[in-house]
Amino acid sequence: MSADPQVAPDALGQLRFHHLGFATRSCEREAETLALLGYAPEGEAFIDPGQGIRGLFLVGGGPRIELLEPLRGAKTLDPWLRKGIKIYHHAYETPTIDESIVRARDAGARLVSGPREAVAFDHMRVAFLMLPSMYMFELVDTAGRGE
Amino acid sequence: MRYPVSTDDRLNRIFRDVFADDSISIEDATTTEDIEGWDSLAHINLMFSIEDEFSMKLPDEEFAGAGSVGEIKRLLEEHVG
Repeated sequence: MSADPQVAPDALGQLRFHHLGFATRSCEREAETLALLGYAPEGEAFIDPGQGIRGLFLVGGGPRIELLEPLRGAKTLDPWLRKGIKIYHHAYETPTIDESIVRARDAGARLVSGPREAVAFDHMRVAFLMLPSMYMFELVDTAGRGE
Repeated sequence: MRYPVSTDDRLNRIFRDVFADDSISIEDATTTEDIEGWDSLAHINLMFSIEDEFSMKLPDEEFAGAGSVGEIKRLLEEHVG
């Protein structure tokens, strides 16, 4: 069997699931809680002033998690934090981010932000899109990554 | 006898649905500051709801910059066929 179960035969161009995005007020406190479920940090925390966030990836028994907390004065995560929404996006890698964005928009998705370089991914480009069902997903550019 | 529903009435119904608040009564001067919860997420929800109601598409960038009911109505007038 050669098919990669993490690569879906989707309409946007062979997306590979990467992580769940969590909005939190404190990465450290959230990480402590998720340690109960077997999660542990994957590398060091990062700061992305362009997005107004500080983040930390966790790995464990379930899907990879990206914890994100707002930098002082940043409102990036306010809509979710105010409503108590924790998991607010799914992220997928794509080798053709520009094409994936075009296909997503053709299918009714709206570009929320990007594409722009992200500190979390060694300055690879990311974009956030929203489907009409109000499901938000992130595309992470993998073009040029040595794999 | 049924009367045609005005654009203002249709928009007002959308705002009440999106913000789950039947007391909302919008006017052209209503801005993001006037309605609790009118943040970036709600703004996108408004856009999808307006597009669905009026069977049309609004440009992402222009709608993102529309911070009042009057500006949204202007966009509607420009893009409704």
